[in-house]
Amino acid sequence: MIAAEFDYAVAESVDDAIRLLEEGGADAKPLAGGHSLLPLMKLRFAAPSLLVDLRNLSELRGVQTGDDSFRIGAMTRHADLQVRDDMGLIAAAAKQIADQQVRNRGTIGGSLANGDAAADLPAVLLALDGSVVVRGLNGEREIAAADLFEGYLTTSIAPGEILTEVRIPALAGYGYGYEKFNRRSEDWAMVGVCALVKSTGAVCEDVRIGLTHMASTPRRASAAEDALRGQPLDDDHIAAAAALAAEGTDPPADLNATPDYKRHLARVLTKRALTTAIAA
Amino acid sequence: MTVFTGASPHGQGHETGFAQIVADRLGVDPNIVEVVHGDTGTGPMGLGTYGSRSLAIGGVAATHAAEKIASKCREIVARNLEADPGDIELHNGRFSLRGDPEQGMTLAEVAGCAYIDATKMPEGMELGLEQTLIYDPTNFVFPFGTHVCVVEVDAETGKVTVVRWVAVDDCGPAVNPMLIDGQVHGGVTHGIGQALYEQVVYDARGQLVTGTFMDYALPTANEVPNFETDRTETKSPSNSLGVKGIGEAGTIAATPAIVNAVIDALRHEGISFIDMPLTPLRVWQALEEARGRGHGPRATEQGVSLPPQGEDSAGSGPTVPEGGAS
Repeated sequence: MIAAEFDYAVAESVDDAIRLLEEGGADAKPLAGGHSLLPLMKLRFAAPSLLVDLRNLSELRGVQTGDDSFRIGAMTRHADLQVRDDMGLIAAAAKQIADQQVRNRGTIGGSLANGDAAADLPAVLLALDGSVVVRGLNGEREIAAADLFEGYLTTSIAPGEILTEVRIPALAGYGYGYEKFNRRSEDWAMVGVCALVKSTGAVCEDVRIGLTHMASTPRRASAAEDALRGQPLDDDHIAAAAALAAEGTDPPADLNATPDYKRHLARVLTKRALTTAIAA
Repeated sequence: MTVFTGASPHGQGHETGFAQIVADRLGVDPNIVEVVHGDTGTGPMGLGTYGSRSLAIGGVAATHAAEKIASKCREIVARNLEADPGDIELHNGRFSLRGDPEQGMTLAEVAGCAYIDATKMPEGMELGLEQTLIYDPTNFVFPFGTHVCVVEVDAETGKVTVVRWVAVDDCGPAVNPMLIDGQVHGGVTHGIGQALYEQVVYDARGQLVTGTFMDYALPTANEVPNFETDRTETKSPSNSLGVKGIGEAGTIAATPAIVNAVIDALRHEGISFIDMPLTPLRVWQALEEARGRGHGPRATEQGVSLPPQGEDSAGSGPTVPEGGAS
């Protein structure tokens, strides 16, 4: 439970952080809230040679509210988001991340850059069709959520690049629901499902469903979305769509669940998340 | 005043309870009593704390030691008041003459005689106010109680939630009701952990996969209900305080209470047994089996038959070969 030896530097600006990471080489890692990276280091699953601490980059903390979107600084804490009910789904998900101590330290940028399929926010970003802004020596670029998560704990953020901002659409008119299933409230999701539904009358105009921990990356339940879009939002159609929630997923077995059980949970939770989203 | 004990606690509150008992018998404020434990170099021989025995054995030993010191105090006071030791009683924190409480001495004044002024001691009496006492009970104590719990089982996911807990325990005369409640709360939480959450799991290659508290699922405050506790007080005949242990009452009661409640909730499905811990996976597998699907909880024992990532473990067969281990 003691991390391997590493060097430590505190960045005073984003450019400073980029320079420190460049100088640190391939095994240098940025440190945000530290609630994923530090436990991995203590278990010796990760052994970076240098940690570049982003704690002083106050310009990366906070939310800018636009007409139809939000720009969230990468160092914004989960605790900052969990009280933003005006931000809808992302606040609902932030409320359920681990426990309050973790939410007080963990950041949205750190969680997304870590790309853990069992974490709450990656699937939420995917369902929202959000994006992230990253900056490196070669300048700044925006990565759509659909292009961000490449594999188990792997994202398309290049070495030396720092995630600086998260952009999500406000999605006015959408109801939302978030269902997280775990054994204890502080645990990772065994399966999580977030749903966004826009309806006209009683008909589904648009629906987006994000799946947590149903593959090595977060997934969209595309088959379920397609089955519900344009259909009446009654119990039968919701149940029929939810039955397709695990299509195309590849859930890993773990201590608490078999793949079969996870597929079953995805179907049950999708039905519940859709029901909540429609009632909202 | 210092009490040394070999019944070393790890959070049960001996410092408070033992201080109360001793202070009562010597007429002092419990706040001035320091209870020292955990150091075999300074304390008396003791076997530690286990078996819900600390109060019923260590506490009784402290009681008897305090009573011996109190008896010595009465003799010293009697000598100074030229009275009979049988006429000296503890009254408002002073050792006073029965019928004339104005005449008396505080414990501090008695200690002044015992440690500083041998001329005020009864002839031949050993100086000092110290007593070491080893107590071996003639019999065990037998606490009893009843715990009733209400659980909800999510019939779709298999998740069990404890929604209500009522516990009535009898550990004899209550030395400290708050400590008793604390012991019951902790014990029940421990029992809930055994019934629903905690498990040491090794994978097929012998690797421990529950090596941190993230994996070894100890219940937290979020997983337990508000406990409704009450008690009856029936004296034990085994010791002079009449006290009985409370430390394990919750632990022993909670586990079967929960499992019985879950089975009661599932009996109409034809389920009469599920191995502990009753994880969501196991309850769901039991429900599936009862509905004619799958192989039941034993076919996918958690951790034991963990397949490589992505490979479905359904149908991997029972971990205990059919026909037993012959």
